[in-house]
Amino acid sequence: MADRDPVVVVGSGPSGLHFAQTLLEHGRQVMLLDVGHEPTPAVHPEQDWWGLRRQLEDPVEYFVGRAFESLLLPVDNSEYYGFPPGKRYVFEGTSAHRSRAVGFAPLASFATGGLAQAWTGGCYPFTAAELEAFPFGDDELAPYYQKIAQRIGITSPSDDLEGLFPFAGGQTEPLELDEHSERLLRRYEKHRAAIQRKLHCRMGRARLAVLTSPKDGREACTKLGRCLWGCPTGALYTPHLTLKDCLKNDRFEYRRGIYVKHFFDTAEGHIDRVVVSRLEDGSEEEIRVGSLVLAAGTLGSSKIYLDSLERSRGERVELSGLMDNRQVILPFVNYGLLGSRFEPRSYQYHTLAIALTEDSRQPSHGLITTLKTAMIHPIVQSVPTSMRTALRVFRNLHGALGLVNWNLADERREDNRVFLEQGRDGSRLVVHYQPDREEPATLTRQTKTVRRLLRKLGCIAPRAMEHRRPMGASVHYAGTIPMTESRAPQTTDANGKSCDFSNLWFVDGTTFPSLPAKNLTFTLMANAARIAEREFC
Amino acid sequence: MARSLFLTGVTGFVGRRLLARLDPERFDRVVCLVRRADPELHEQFQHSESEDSRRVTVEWVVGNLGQPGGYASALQSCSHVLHLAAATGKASAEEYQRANVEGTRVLVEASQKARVERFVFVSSIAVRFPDQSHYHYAHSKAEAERIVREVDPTATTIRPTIIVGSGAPVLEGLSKLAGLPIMPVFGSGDVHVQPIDVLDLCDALSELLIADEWRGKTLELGGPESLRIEDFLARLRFARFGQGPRALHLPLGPIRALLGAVEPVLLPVLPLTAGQLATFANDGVAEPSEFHESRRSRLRPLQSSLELGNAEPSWASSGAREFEESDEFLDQESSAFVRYLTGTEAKDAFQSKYREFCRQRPEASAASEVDRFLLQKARAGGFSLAMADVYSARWLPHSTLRVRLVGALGILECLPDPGEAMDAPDGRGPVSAGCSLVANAARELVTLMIATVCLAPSHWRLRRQAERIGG
Repeated sequence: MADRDPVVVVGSGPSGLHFAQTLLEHGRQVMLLDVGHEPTPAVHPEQDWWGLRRQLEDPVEYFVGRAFESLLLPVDNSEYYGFPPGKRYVFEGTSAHRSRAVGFAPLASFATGGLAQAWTGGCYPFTAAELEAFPFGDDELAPYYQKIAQRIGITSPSDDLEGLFPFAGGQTEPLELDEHSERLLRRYEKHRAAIQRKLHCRMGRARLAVLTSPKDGREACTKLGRCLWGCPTGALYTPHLTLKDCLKNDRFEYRRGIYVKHFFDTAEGHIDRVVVSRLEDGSEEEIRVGSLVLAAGTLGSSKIYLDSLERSRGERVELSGLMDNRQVILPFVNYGLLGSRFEPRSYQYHTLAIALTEDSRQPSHGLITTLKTAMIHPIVQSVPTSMRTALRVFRNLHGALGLVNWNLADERREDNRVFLEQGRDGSRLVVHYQPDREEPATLTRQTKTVRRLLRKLGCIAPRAMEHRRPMGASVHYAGTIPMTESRAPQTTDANGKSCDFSNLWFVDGTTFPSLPAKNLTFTLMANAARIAEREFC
Repeated sequence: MARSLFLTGVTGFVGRRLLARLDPERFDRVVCLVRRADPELHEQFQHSESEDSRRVTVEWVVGNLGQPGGYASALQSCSHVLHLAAATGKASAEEYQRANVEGTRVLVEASQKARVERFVFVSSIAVRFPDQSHYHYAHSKAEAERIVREVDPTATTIRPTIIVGSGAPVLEGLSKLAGLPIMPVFGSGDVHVQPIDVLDLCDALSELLIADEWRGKTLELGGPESLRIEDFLARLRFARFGQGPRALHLPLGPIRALLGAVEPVLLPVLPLTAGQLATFANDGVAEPSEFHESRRSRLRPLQSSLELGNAEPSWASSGAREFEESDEFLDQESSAFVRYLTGTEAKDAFQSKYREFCRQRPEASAASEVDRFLLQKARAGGFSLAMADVYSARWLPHSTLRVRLVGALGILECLPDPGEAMDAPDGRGPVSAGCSLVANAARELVTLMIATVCLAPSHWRLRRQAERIGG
């Protein structure tokens, strides 16, 4: 049991909030320090995708921004994330945080709720095999997956993916499929045997943090088709909702507008205070801590840790083992649906999931998203014809389009490191990343499998359309201070407790010793709840 | 003695220069017939007072050649008429007939009624071309000459050869060809031309108006040199682009036939017309005459007439309207885009957003001459816009035109109207969608071929000019 001085949590992402929530449930005091850019308020929660245009005074500002900053133009070659003006707050930086990267395109969030404010709701627990490098087994994590599922509400259908996503604590009914997804699933069922035997693929419904019946004041999904622009009913879970719950508790102290720079420790390696900068006036402040819990995301937590080692002990170290899932996107056309209308009233993101199980220990997990509501100008301009022809082609294809995106697993490698660089205006985090040498071959093999799968499902996916997103784009960062049983410096124990400081815990992805090829958010939340109970309650 | 001149075609390439050079000793007053008031032009001639206070008084009559009522009284007050106005370039056969034939008939008849002393009609050497197929301009000028002779036997008709000098429309047209990596020469390139500088022509015209010996005559006037058209193009190429001669001879007959066939539809966007190709089929040399001899020693050397004067952008001086970004022009552009992309009319909400977009996103401002050229083609709407769109998609995917089309689409899709309709399939089911795809692909391909032929020459020329100015 940790001491009874204030538990100070840094960061309000899914890890930090579920850690805090768990502690609050056990009657503990929690102080949460956060930069905390606030979400854009939801508008017209009763209107669907088309209705919204009619109701808004300035729909152009809502969809592409006051200065048209979310309008994607042909001259822009950077990776396109497609976030609307209403999601800008998720990626809004702060002048206090600086970084530089080689071979990596890091995204950072200082929003209340963190990057998961912009997630697509996929909840995929890690299997026993995937947890092999972790210093604890799947049985230890299982109750916490259960706990999180109860908190946020997760659809858990029973289908071919059950074994791969071993979570049976179903909370709500599965989400109704749109017609295109339904059709794909039926084709899969028809060719199931061949697909499983020859292609080693499995397919089923997505496991989603989306409500299909009302829960804790949140509505069930009303299929407005507005997910990307921010679910206005709260049916799609975002961590901001958990913050709201925490704020109802008077043992919870939330300090917004605070950027945590580093901490100081005593000679015995006991942290007694953190140094923060207040964003409103740039002034510095010291906050006393009993236990310090870092949940600022792998890169954010690593930076605080490195800065502190340097300030407090004069040590300059490099952290190695940074991981991220490479993501590959493959658009497809379902030719049976050419000329059909898309369904605007549907859950906008993926409702189907796949697993490539050729490597049975490390299956690659992917999602199938059928194209429904979307801003069309980014897609239309990618057709290499005149704009008029592109628009005509697109509208005849819209209902038939979709994309598969899948993840590649990653492991800790020495070359992939983060360290600090001192500049005139303070320190800067430097990230160096190089993918595994085997990666191109794996990708080529997997693309081939996915294309064959799509053919079985009645779709064509031109190879040329495959897009390998740059490293950093999936935002599944992990692994710089791993959980091990070795007690070595710059590691933690099985409960995320630092081996270098006596009262420091990492409850985010920083401690993951390996990164399976699937979305990690659900595991981040479960692991944070696990550490909270094991170490603090 | 006081002479007053009635002048038509003052806004044209020759007219503007003639007015500026008119000698107040010869004419103390000029009445100009213009189709619409042009404050800029008026102002220009208000400031042209000579220092010794001798000046030509310039008056403006707004009217139409075909409606003599509007200018009859002005004509009454004039002793001389110089008829320069004519439809040229890419006009249709009907337009040539209306402006050049009927316009001339009405003017010369009205002049007779007003009892003017002298009537001078500016025709063209093309009237004498033996091969005038598809050349509506030449037909109309020949017909006009006949009418002038009939109505006023004392009138003088002058036929200049190719008119050159900075900004000359024919010269700009030919330099599109001369600026290509390989210069196309239609036919053998052996026919002769004898280009005359516009300023020499102006001087000759003002002398001709007051001299009595050329009454009732038809005169031809050329420049100091007669040379093969291919050599002329090579000289032009060297003078403008610093390039050595690299010519590709193309068969004249089939190209003229093809252009003649597509002209009725594609006229506004073709780089040249079948008629204009007559220059490659006929000698355009002035008949030796006493008149020509009398001027020979004063003619400017050809070389000086070929160079680009005072770096004036060619599109601005070649009769094209200057590129503008005022609300009015942006609205014209956005209406054309909406009609083109959706088949509906642009709404105010869209137009005001589109203006903001063009001004707020730096990528949407037209940086280069090529960008402005494409936008200007696009603003014309219809097939011209389709060509500019397809051309930019294939050859200039980052051009301002494409940026703006994407911007227009991005704004349109946010608005409730046309909203759903814009993103709905053409028919139901795979068969109708498949047909639509095939039809669209075919149209795209044909448009691309035509667009490449029509727009590539200007694209190359503008790029070359930019390189020359830059380097």
